[in-house]
Formats: sequence, structure tokens, C-alpha cells
Amino acid sequence: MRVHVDNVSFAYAREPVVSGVSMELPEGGITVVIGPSGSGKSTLLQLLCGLLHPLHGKILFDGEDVTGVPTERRDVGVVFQSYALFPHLTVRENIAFGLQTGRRRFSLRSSRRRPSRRHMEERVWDTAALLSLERLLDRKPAQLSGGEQQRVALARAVAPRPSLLLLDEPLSALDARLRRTVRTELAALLRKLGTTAFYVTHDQEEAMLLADHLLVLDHGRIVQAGNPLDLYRRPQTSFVASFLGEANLVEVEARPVASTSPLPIRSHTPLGSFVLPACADGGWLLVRPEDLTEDPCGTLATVGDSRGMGSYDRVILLLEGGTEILAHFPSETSPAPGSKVRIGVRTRRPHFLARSE
Amino acid sequence: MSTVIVRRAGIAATAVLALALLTPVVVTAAGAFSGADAESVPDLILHVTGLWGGALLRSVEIVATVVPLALAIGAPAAWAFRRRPFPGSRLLESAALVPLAVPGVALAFSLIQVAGSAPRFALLVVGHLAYTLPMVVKTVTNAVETFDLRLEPAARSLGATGWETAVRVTVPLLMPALVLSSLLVFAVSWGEFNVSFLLATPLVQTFPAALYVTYTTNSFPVAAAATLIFLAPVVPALFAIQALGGEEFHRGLPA
Amino acid sequence: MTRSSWTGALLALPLLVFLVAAVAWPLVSLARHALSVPGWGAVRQVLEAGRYRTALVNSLGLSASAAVCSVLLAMGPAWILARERFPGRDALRTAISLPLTFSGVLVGFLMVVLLGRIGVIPEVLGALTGRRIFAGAAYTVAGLFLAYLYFELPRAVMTLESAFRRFPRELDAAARTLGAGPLQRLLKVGLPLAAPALRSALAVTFSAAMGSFGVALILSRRFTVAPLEIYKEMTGTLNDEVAGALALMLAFSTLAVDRLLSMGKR
Repeated sequence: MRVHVDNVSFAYAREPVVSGVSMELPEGGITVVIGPSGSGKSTLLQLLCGLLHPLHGKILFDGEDVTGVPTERRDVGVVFQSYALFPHLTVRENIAFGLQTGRRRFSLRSSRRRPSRRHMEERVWDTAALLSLERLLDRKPAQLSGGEQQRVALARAVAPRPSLLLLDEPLSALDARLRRTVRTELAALLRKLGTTAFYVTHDQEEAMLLADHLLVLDHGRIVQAGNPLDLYRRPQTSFVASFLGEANLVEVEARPVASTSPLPIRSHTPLGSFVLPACADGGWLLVRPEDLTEDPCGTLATVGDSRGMGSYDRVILLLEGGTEILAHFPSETSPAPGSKVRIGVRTRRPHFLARSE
Repeated sequence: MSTVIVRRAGIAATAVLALALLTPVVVTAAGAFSGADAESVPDLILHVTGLWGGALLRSVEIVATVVPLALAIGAPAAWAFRRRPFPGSRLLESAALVPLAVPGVALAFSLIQVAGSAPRFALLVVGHLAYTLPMVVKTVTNAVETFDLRLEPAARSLGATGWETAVRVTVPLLMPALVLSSLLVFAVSWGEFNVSFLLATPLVQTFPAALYVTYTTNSFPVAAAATLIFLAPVVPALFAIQALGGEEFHRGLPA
Repeated sequence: MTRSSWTGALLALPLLVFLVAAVAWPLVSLARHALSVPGWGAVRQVLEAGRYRTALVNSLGLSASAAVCSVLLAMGPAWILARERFPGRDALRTAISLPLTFSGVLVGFLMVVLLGRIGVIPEVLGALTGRRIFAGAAYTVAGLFLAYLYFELPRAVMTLESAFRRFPRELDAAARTLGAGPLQRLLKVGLPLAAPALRSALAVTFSAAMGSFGVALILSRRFTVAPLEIYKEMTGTLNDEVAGALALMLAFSTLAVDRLLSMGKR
């Protein structure tokens, strides 16, 4: 299903939470929304499934306006952050719940009658098999581990084959180790299902792993949207740059725009000089820690603290003038703390962020 | 739209219920103190206090005995149920709640039968304890459940003895629950009528029992003034209990 | 037993002693006494003789109907107080909980003030219509029932409210996202989840009504209830065994219903 959100706003008690958001969810793709807590990402999800209604703007499913359609007729599946499993029902009954409600689909095209009993049982079994829940079907939610509850919540949401799957920080209740394994499985599963999905998270690794399309939300507005790698390499604001991973933002001084010369002009920075677009107000160079490398012709730096992280060393470098730079070096060649090294930037043209306003 | 209507109707129904429950009280109070020939309220209250001074004093004595006893018997047991369970502790815990479902008249009857010759004051205290101990046990077990299981071991690991742990960690943590329990015990013991009335003798009579005599013999303003004296400590106790989040008062006073 | 369970047992010992000496022993001896008449004589007498049986049946009927009515009436307000936010909510809750502080005789007195022979309501209606209706209604079965409702409603609302407040909020949302309409949500999610709360509210209100003595003491005229009969027997000391049997059966039936309703909890 294609989902189109047109200039949607929402406020709690006059406090704007979502302001003028427009977006398009690609059909069959996973759209991930990332943002700090309070940025309005969960609210956006609740607007999509109709648990909240926008003050302004429109929401279209396959071109049809569903803004006023109640949740129960929207053909969506939701995985809640707290899972919200029905405590009085078994896993089997939880998964079957959405199959028994006989949802009157809003869209005629996807309208389906309530499935037969046998068909329903098959569907519950298939969904359980998909998430390896076969052995847990007769348990109550209270008898399940956190990871199992998460899988049941997902199974319950996908069993009715919704046209749009919404996931609200589905992994945030799991511990870090489990989260890492589950998110890989989840990514594989979502690709296999091929349902249009909208995934809310505040975890950058989760976002990079899952997203076909990434939205960064801050203070109720979309600050940047696009391909996840693109956002990582070419963020438009320092907020996006530092939210999507560790970032060194190297100050670039203002330089007159007057240069109409066809020849490229080089800007000088503490990390060397680079060819950059002209800018009146200056800005920053985005240098990711993995972009730095030892370079005999590079800038002189003193090695500060250094931590082995296993696959690489996390090194803090002090440039002349006191700028601190974070670098990731391969462990074997990593310089000792206190020593002097010359460093350079791997890419010829690092990403430049113009200072706005 | 329909949810808005349902919500409004619900709020209206709630308001109607509150009004229905409040009206008899307001009407009674108004009727008692608004008559032109009525004595002034303070005079009435002085009059009632003179009339029922003995019963008032007895009620105060009973409350003053029941509150510390209920805490002393109930609180350590409640703590033990959660922190030092022993074989049969589950059973004892649910047995402690049983008196709440035993009619006061039946308990009073049986108490007189087995210990009719015991001092009536002692019997009254026993009767009140039976209905207040369950509240202490429930309130304190709830409180013990909410505080961190590791705090007491942490104190022990810092070298505190069992006694020091109790005095410096457990009791301070349980203080809100103990205050709440005291208020609950106080309110119930002050207002208990069923056991008190059956166990009362002309010499040992509690104030709620006196209240009954007033209702059946005295004039309306005197009865209303006595009611006011009866409610004066309980209503603030109810507010304090609600402010402290106490749920064990939902059974109210024995009717 | 380990040392820690000995500590626990020692701390709980006073409670155990109290329960055995002050609750279990009196009730057991009440039972022994009542059953001492050969061939369950006292119990049979309660079940046969008109007055006692009527009192017990009246108590059961009045308590059950007051409990059911109050819980039904309390559901809506309890839900509103627990789940909605609106100005004046705390004031409403306080007003509703106020009668919790009234003892039974006080409730009876309020009823007499309102619906007694010269009660406020008949007087006002008399002034308005010229006919004094409902005078003395307080002393009828209906008046007694109203009085029972009066002290039961706050108990029902407060018990249900604290249970409703613990309801997970997202469950309703989850049911909606799975296509359940309002009726399905009530039947498949709301009621099953509310069942334990409803049962405990019924247990609280039923045992309060069964034990209620003060209200009937003031209001009861022809319609009698078990606690009142026990009291009359006690003061008359005419037939100790039968009164004992009645007290025993009152206690037993109250306890039985209470246990039945709280089965399966915890």
C-alpha cells in the first residue's frame, strides 16, 4: 500500500507535537523514523493508525483519504512498544484476535470476509511458524520471556496480513544482546513479508539496518529524509550528522561569496585544506571517525585517550589549537597514547554543512 | 464524535451519583442547624459532649490501645510474609484477611460466648483488632513489595546488624505505610459500631454506640450535633488516607 | 526450616496467636455450641422456624441484590473516575467516598431524616403537591434497600476504580488496531479483564451488606435481617443455641460467598 501524508499537524493541549509533516511511504518498503524522545515519532505512528486524529492535514492510503476513518477500519497492524498483549488470552488467541474481528476494511479493493475456522487455524499456525512460536501457542503472555512476547506481538500484528505494518520501538524493551540478534531477524522477516512498514526507533544502528527510507524527526518536524547511507554521509544539519553516528564537525571559517573565479578555491581547516562550496557564513566539515587515517603529509596531532573496542581502537586526538577529534583506527596500527601522529582525511571532498542563519 | 458524547454522559452520571450520596448529608446538616429556634452549634456540641463524655473518653481509650497493638502485631508479620516467608506463611496471610468477611454481630456473639467474663474493654479491643489487623497486613505487605528487594541486603553488606537494618532501613522505608495503617486503624476503630454495640455495657460504651442511643432518644439537633462530633476525626482521616493513596479503606466502616 | 524462616515465623507469631485465640477459637466454639444439640437440632430449628429462616433468607436476598445493583451502578462512574481527566474529578471522588466514614446507624439516621414519618422528602412533596407521599418509606423494605445501596455504592465505586486504574491503557488501542469495534472490545477485552475487579467488588459489597447491623437496627420494622435477630436473641437470652446457629450460618454463608468470588485470584 502506498501511504501519503500531507502536511499533518498535531498538538497536545496546544503544545505542538507534530508540525506540518509530509511524507510518502514507498510501497512494500520499510520506512524508519528516527528521532530523540519527544520528537513526535510515536505520535506520528498513532496518527497513521488512527489512534490520534490530526488537527490539520490529510492521510491517504492508496490515494483514498482515511483521515477520519477509525482505527478498527484502517487495515493496519501495530506492534506496540509495550507489546500490549492481551493478558487473559493465550498466545494462540492473541494471534487469532485480529482474524476474528471481521474488520470491515475501508478500502474495497482489499476487502475480505471473515476467514473460515479452518482457514483461521491455518493462518495462526503459519504465522506462529514464521516466528517460531509453535511450542508457545497455549501459554499466557505472563509465562513468556521478553523476546518471546515481542515475537507474539509481531505475530499478532501480521496475522491478518495488514496492508500497513506500524512498529513503535518494538525492540526497546529487550536487553542489548537480545536486541542485536532480534533486529537482524526482524529485518529479514520484514523483507520477507514485503508489507509496507513504518518503524519508529531512537536507535541509529537499528535504523541503518532496517531502513529502505529514513526520516529524521526533531521537534515534530522532518529534518531530513532519504536513503539511510545518504543521510549518514550527507546530512544537512549538524543534528542529523551527530544523531546518525559519531561525528567530528570541523569548523570552517566564513569566506566571501564574491569569488566568481572558475578555479576551485581551497578552504583551510584544522584538518587541512579542501575544495569547498563558497559560503558566506562558514560551516562545518563532517568527518566521521572512520574517515581519519594516518597520513605522512597530514596534520600533526597528539594522541590522547585510546580505547580498544575489539574490532577497532577509539582514539581521541588533540590538534594544535586544542580541537579534539575522534578517530577509529585499526587496532594493529593504532598509535600509543602521548605519541605524535600525522593524520589526514581519507575522502578528497568531505561533506560540508553550511551554517544556516 | 460518539466517544465524546459517551464521555460527557459518563461524567454527568458520576456527578449525579456524587450528588445523590451527598444530598442526605447536606439536608441533615441544614435541617439540624438552620432552624430559627435552634441553639448555636457550639452550644449543642458542648451539650452533647457533656451528655456523652464517658462514651467519648472510652472511644479515645480504645483507639489509643488498638492503633499501637494493631501495628505491633500486624506490621512485623506483614514484613515477614514478604521477606522471611516460612512454611504456612501464605496460609496465615490469607487467614489474616478472613475477619473482614465475618459479620461483626457473629464475631461479637461468639466472643461473649467464649469469654463473656473477661473485662469488656479487653473484648472490645479484641473485636476491633480483628477488623483492623487485615488492613495493616495488606497495607504493609503492599509497601514491602514496592521497595527494592536489595536494600536490606545492601545495608547488611555495609556491616549493619539485623537490628540496625530494621531501625535504619526497613522502618524508615515503611514509615508511609505505617502512617497510613495507623490512620486506617484509627478510622475503623473510631467508627466501629456492630461489635462495640453488642459488647457494650452501660459502663463500657463507645461513642458510636452512644450515637445510636442519641438517634433513638434525643432531639434532632442533639442527634445531628453528635453526628458531627462523630465525623469530625473520621472525615479528615479519610482525606489523609486518600492523599496517601490508601486503598484498604474501600470497605469503609462496618455498616 | 532455615534460620530466615524461623525469624519470619517468630515475627508472625503474635498474629497467629491472635487469629487463633480471638477469631478461630470463638467461631469454632460457636459452631460446637450450636451443633451440640443432638441431630443438628439448632441448625434445623433455624432452617425450619419461620422467623430465623426468614431473617437469613432476607439477609441473603437483600445483600445479594444490593451488591449486584451497586456494582452495576458503580461501573460507569468508577471507569470515568479511573480513566478520564476532567476538572472537578477529585472533588467528585471525595464526595463519593465520604459515606465510607459513616457507620450503619448513621446511614439509618440519614434515611430517617429523608424518608421518615416526618422526613424531608415527604414534607417537601407535601408542600408542593398537597399530598404527603413516601412518609415513613424509610421503614419499608424499599427504604432498607435504599439505605443498603447508599452505603454499598461508595464501596463498589472505590473498589472498581482502583482496579480500573491498573488496566493497561494500550490494550484497547491494540484491539482497535486489530479491527475490533466498540462492542467486540467490551466483550472480548474489557469485560474479561474487568471480571476479577467485578468479583472483588461483589465480594466487598456482599460481605458489607451481610454484616450490616446498624442500618437495620434503626430502620427495620417488619422486615428483619439475620444480624438483627441474633442481637434480639442475645439480649433476650431466650435460645442461645439457635442464635448461635444463626450467627454461624450468617458467618459461614458470608465467608463462603467471599471465598467463592475471590477464587482464582493471586
